[in-house]
Amino acid sequence: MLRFTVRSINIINIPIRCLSSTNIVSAPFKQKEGKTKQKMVTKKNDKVDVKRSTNLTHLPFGEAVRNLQFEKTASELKIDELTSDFSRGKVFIYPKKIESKLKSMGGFKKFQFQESFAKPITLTTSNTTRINELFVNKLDEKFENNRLYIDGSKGIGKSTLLNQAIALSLLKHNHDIIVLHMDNAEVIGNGSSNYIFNNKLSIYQQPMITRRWIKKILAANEDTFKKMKLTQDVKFTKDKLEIKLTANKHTLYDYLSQNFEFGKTDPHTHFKYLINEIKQHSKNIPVLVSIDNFNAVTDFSLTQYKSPDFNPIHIQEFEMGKFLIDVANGSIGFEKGGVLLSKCNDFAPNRKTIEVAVYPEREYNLYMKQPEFDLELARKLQGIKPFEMTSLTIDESRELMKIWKDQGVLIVRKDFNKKDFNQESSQVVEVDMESQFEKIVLNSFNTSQGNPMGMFKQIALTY
Amino acid sequence: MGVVVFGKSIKHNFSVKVGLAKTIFGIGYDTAERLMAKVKIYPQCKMNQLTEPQIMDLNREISQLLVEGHLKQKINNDIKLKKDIGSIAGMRHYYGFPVRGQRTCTNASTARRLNKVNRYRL
Repeated sequence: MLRFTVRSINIINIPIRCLSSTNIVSAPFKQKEGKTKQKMVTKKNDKVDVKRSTNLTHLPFGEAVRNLQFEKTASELKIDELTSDFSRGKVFIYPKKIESKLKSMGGFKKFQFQESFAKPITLTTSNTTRINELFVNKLDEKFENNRLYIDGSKGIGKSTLLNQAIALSLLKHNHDIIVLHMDNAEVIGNGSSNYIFNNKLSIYQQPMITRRWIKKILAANEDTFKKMKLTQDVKFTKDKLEIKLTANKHTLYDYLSQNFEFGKTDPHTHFKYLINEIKQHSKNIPVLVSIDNFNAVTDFSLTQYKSPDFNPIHIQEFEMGKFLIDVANGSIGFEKGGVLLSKCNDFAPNRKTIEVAVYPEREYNLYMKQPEFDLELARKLQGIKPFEMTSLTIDESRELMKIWKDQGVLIVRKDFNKKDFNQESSQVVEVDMESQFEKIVLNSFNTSQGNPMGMFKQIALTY
Repeated sequence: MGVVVFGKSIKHNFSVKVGLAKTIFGIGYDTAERLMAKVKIYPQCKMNQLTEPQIMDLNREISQLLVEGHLKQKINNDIKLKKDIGSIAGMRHYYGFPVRGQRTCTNASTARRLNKVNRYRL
């Protein structure tokens, strides 16, 4: 209030200010005598700012650990690269090119503890040698005779074996092979993608899933697709311009890298065209199709999607679902190559469709109905050979744990002994670290029965 | 940020099924699923992922249902009819007592709160 009066007096006393073009309010105050104008001084903080938050509090624990990216600070790996003439029972890293391909395909999954090491490591076991003999060496033979279903308990290394099979086949054929990998087949039926009905093909299309999958296979097969010439002319629109690609001139890479119609919400026939092109080239280039979590497709054949009359849509009515079933069935029409299917134990164990299809000699309840059992689909999938995983041997476990020890994942220390009453504290017990390590190996091998995930959890995630 | 469907603002990060069921009077989870199937909205779709044509289709489908004010009016009318014809249920509504044989010595607090002739204010 006092301030206001001073200002108003000032304005009245200085008539010249009123005639000036500047705003009256912006006229300077007259300083009182004996007072100095105060200056704004910012306080200087001598303390160094410490970043405390990692912004991970909103994430679940496992996800938060992954986001911390411990692999960047992990010690350097001095392990040999995987070759086609590998020796059994040794730990390898993937060659750089193959590792990047596997990464782009989604081969290394969440919660596989890959962040413990600077690079993803892999142990060649009896399963690796078996898959090499039964599958990789037969990729030049007929596609429909080379179909395997990898079965085993949780954490035994089924997804890792898929990666190994892909890596070995890429090494064997010198990267001249088409790898169509689907890292999680459950996305087709779990209702996470938009869907449209294509009246022309009378099939449902899922643009979001198809676009993502095309992106992955394009990154993984870039070199191979650049060699593959188109066999038919094709045209599509890009940025409102029509693009025409001619046969024997342009390549499949040109087609896939420019065509964004896979992700559009309008019906199209491009997926069919792509499969036809791969089919044409499969005479010369073998096709490896690997599908992880395949039991999610078969055991949940009635999907979460509903038709307009509120009936669940069958997995075979989807374009991608039909492709996967045809591939597993062998009726897709690829000449050379093979298909590897893998099980996931996270889904309902009481559903028996894939089990009945792969093990027809086993007894099953004849009165089972949907959704537990889909007889039609089980009949369609007959002819797939089972590949049952075996757990690690004691030597393989020791070799794996030696690497963990070298990398600092496994800490070898003396056992904790509770002091007895009146025991002297100065008593020093010497422990032989070699024998202590052997003790840990035997202990974890016995408790987990050679399951690598169980071993890792027992060693690294428990205290 | 909200997405406006049928004149109601629904939070952007709600799934469509939950958003419709929680916001619009007269639509439950089952009806919401049926609506989504008709309009071809995928099951895990969030409110902010809806396109403009899909929202218009949803509005059109919801407007054909008996929801919100019309449904509330119907419930009020039904209670009033019961009272007018002199039925026991109508009288119980009038007195604010339980209608379906529940005890009144104790409890019956829900009935006292809800059972009126004009159940919903319009």
